Amino acid sequence: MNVRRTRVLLGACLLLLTAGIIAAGCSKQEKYQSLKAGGASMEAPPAPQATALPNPAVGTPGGGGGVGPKHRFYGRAARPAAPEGILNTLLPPQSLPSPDEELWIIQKAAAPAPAAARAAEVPGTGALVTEDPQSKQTVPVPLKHTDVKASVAGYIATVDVTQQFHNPFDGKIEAVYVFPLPGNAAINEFVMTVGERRIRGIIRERQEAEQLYNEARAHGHVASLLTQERPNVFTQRVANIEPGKSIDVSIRYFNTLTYADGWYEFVFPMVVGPRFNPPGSTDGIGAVGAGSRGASGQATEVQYLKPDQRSGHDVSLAVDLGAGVKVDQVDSRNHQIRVKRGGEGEGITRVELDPADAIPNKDFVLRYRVAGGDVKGGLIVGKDAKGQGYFTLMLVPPKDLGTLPRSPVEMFFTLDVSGSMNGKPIEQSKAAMRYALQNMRPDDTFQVVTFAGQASTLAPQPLPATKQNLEKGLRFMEAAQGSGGTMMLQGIRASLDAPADESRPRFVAFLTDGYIGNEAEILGALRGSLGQSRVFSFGVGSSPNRYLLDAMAKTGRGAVAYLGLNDDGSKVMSQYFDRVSHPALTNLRIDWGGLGVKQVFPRELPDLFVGRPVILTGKFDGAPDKAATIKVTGQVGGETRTIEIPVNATEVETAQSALPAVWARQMIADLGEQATYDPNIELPQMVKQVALEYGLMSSFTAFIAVDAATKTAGASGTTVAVPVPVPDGVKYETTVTEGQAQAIPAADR
Amino acid sequence: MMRRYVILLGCATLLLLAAVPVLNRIVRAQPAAPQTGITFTLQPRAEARSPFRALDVYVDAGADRLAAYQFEFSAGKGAGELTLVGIEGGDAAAFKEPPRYDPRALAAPTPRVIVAAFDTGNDLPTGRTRVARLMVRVAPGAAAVEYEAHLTVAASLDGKPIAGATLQIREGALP
Repeated sequence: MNVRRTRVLLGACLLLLTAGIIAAGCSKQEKYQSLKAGGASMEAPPAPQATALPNPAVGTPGGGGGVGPKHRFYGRAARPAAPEGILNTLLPPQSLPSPDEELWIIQKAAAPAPAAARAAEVPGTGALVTEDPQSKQTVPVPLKHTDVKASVAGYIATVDVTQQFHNPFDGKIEAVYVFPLPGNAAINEFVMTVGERRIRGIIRERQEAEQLYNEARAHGHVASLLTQERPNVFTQRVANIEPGKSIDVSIRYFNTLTYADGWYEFVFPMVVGPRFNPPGSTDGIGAVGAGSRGASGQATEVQYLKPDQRSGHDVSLAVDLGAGVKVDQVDSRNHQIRVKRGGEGEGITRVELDPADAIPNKDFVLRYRVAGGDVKGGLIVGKDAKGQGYFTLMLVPPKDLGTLPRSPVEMFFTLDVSGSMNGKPIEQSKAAMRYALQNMRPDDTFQVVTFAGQASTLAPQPLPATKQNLEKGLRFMEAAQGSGGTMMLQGIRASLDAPADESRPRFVAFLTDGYIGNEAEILGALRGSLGQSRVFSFGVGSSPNRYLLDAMAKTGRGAVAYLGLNDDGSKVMSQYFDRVSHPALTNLRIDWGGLGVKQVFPRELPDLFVGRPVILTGKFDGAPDKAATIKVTGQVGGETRTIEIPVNATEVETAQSALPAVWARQMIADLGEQATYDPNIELPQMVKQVALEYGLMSSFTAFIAVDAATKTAGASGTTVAVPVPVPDGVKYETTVTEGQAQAIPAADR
Repeated sequence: MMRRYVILLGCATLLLLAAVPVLNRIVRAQPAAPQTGITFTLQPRAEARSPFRALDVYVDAGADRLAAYQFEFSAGKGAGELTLVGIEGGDAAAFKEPPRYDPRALAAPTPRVIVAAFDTGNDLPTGRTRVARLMVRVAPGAAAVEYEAHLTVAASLDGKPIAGATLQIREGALP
């Protein structure tokens, strides 16, 4: 590409950008100069063709297609109202799958699934499970492979996720997959690939998108729908996958990485952990065995493979780190990786998941240090197609915070001892707590709270940290076993509602996997009871509910840490002690140095703890004056401190399209957080508006893609959920509900 | 090579940012480019047929090589009867990827579909080429409704507008 051509292309791209379209995906740097509109003409559309009703012929999974010797067909029972405008009432009920040459066992529910289970939103079943008593069963699932490609520039990741759906059965199916993504993922691109054809999905209001999807499915069109169940849990549906055919769905999202104790952290979650939902709730996320659809009574369900089963679904993952920075150290917490260093001057380090470690049953957690050990690119700016400026700013605590002493504190250690923590997770938690109890200061006080079905405390009120009391605390903690439900609300109340000690600040270390389905209730309760306490959440296990844990720390004005199965519990806890053993910079105020800043999130500026920078994102008007300085002022130990940040704006290529999405995602998160304590009915409307304007996924919007150009033959087939393994270290038998369900064709949903 | 590419991208980004205000002024200063719109009528279908339909969008660039386009599509009479449910790319290799749309325009009280794409490769089409296919849902039983469309931008590789470029829309065939 010669220089002249490059200039010309840049001009062209720019004009299109100003026209307001291409910014979201303009990775090429083309440019056009002056453009004029062309003329246009019209062609009459072809005359309407003869009407063709959907073929009532039945798709019948089973038989060949690589299915093993023995099979079981699981179905579902709920039958929701047909979507508007659909003629599916004319369709005869779909027959059950026909047996193949071996054996089919068809299980039917003794009772229909709970009415509360919103069938249109709940993963269905129809999963075929092979049984081979001699070895670990291989379960043919409609999700063959997930490919993840990420690139990180500064501390912003651009991640492309491609899910390869495939129909291994001999009848048409609808595939349903409940999967996790990072809680701060700003999803703004969705493309469905049918053979060689790629169809871009459209963001719509969720209810409208669901209706469109149901209608397209009933009419035999290949269609896909992406909905959000929680900020970190999504459901992907793909309708009318014909036998032997494959359909890919690609998602692109942006998110900011965390930076703690000198390490950047890139996380890609791979499985939704089995959640506990309080009795009476129906809008949680149920955990049921493969084929037990409806057994949990929850609006969303994840189906889990038994310990002796495996699916063919695997994952490939590659991350390109840091163009422009030298990566010194790379550390994968849960997976084997391959690291390829960039050539001289290229500065890009590629990290790939080792194919031998491709089972999606734990979070991919990649930590890396950059040369010099300091945070790079604190301020990142960019403008959208309409010229609106956006920025992210990483606020780094002053280094000398770590030298300041602290006052005596009241330490609460709140430990989740529910069934999902049974085994390795609770052992890791205990290891961390041992360290904590052995490192209390004599002038501190402490309390130990355990919770499962209910909460228990070491003593009626916090105890002085004497040797005798600490030993008592250790015995109390060691006796805890992982069993029962996760009534986290009880743990919150026992930790935050206890009378405050006016002479000591209360720090609550909350150790849990976060496997609950009532996140909003928990966060609302935490905010309501917080008072002057600070909550430090510890996510325990290989695949914790990071959205909840991050939100608990944010709402609790503390910090989050993660304690994986391969981590050193005492080290993680020592970092916590380091964090709370020095005063934080509080009551932050920011002088933006003439930068016309507005709509900054989070709206409530958090405290700055040792080793834990925080990321702010906002809009700005005008151009950043590179001679300006941002001043952050706060209080520490009764003194005023100021951090100065030169506006040496870092512009990275991805930021051009990422920043508006990152900002909008933060605004949506902020509105969602408000909704946990503010009954303002306008909040959902506000979320919807922001999400639609920025083309973003949210709980009130959804991506829909329909192939209107072609139709598949026959009815819409059987709904087949993608069963997933329980997270590494979690016991199936203490977390998953097994029940019976009834087969029902997708067309009847 | 990679370093050169990164530098090139960096320079391009800076140029883009620097040029935005300047070009905005130029655009504002010049009279609006003539935009010849078209109307397009979708005939009603029998209730029983699928309400989902494919609209093929063509741009005729004549003898020029088409490198970029943008068109706008909105409902005239019968607004709200048509819902965009997907966008596919076109026939030519340069426009095979599904083009992008403007979510803001789609979310506006009077929704508009604005679609654009560009390519800088060597395999740019000339003459009449299908650049996109819109997947839409038309409310069953609706009377014939008119839609308006116009080509906002059609440009060649050298960044110049293609004089006389035309936009055509026709319903794609459904097997």
